[in-house]
Amino acid sequence: MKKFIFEFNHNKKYKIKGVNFEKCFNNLIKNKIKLKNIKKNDDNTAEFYIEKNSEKKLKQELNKYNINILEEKDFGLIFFLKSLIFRVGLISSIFICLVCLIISQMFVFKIEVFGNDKISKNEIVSCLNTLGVKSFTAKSSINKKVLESELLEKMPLLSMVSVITKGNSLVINIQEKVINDEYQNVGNFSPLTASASGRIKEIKLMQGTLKVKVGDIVKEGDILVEPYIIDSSGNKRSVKAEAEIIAEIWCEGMVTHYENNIKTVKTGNIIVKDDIYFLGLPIYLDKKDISFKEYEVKSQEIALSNTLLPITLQRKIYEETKTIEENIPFENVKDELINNAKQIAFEKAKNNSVIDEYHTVREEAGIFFISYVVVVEGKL
Amino acid sequence: MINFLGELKKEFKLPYVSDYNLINITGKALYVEGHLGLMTLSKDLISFRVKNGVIVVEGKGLSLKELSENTLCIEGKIKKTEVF
Repeated sequence: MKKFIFEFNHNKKYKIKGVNFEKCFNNLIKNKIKLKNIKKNDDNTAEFYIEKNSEKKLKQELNKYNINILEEKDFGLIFFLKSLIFRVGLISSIFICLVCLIISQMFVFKIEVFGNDKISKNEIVSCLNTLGVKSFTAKSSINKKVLESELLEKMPLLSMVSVITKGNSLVINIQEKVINDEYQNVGNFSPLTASASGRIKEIKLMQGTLKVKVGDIVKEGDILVEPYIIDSSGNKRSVKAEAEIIAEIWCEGMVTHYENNIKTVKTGNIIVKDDIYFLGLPIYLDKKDISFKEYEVKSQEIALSNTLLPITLQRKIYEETKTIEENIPFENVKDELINNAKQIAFEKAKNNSVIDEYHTVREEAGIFFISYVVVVEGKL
Repeated sequence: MINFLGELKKEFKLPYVSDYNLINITGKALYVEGHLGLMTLSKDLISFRVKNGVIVVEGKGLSLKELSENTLCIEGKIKKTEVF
């Protein structure tokens, strides 16, 4: 096994071949040259170590005695450090790594959210995005105090927000508000409104002040029950509006048909352009020509690396389109349109029992309006 | 600092300044002060001049750990040390 020799000074190992080594060594030590680890082998060779600054004298002495140098090797920490100066690749890679490390320390790569229960992390992240905080945002541009107050302002369900940066992560600690109906909604109940248009057949009021009576025709959105009651002393008291109102509901499905229609359709031809950005600055721009006369553009941003370097790819997809003029006479598609309107009406009717159904067709300047009404009995 | 050789010479009532000093450490190393030059160097035998004589060291796998103007240190399995 080779012996590992650690030396601080720059030493040299020599392997020499010749005769009369003893005389040569005696001359060297007379010249104040210190020799270390001298080993003589059987094949008239010897190995030894000397200090680098004695090299010149040693070579002169070896020449004098006709001794050949077979091997020369450098050792020592100082030699290692000196040799590093000439290793351009190593030094440049260390430099690049340092630069990358320094740059990476300047940006936020990850957003972490803690303490959320009802509010999802995505909601908070998208709120942060609207405030200009995303992955690859410079740490220096984030004012934590301002961000905390802006988040509280933008998200009313938060009671406390704390923002800290830890390494390359932006850590958001939140506390959600405890919502209690009894306290939160005092004096703030909403009225009960009609979910569809229809004629009221039966009313079972549970709480609140009734605004309609049996036989009334109501439209979708009309107030049925107000969220208050007048107590025995004539004071208005807020309560939750609750009632069960049965009505004949008119579920309407409406379809419109244009006899002369201009349509834009995709031909299926696409051109994709990819631009690469580093820290928001373009490092590669795709210079493809867009040969389409008419087209639609979709763009998307892809993070090429989300842990080390802020490189993003902006992809633009150009889809060729063409305009087609259609002329479809109403009579040709009448049945199909009525059927479509019927389907819409029945979807609105859900599973309520159907009392009646009918349809009407109205024409205005080449535009046909087909209305299909399904009358059902159900809760408003 | 204790001068080990000086202390020994004091103990044995030897003259403080002598021609050479030689210490054999467990038969695995030999330290010599005051040598006057190397005479023979091989794996089995190393000899060197001292004032008024020659010292021959016999052994196996011998090597010079250090060689300077005044001192030398032999490493290896030392079997015999003779002074002529």
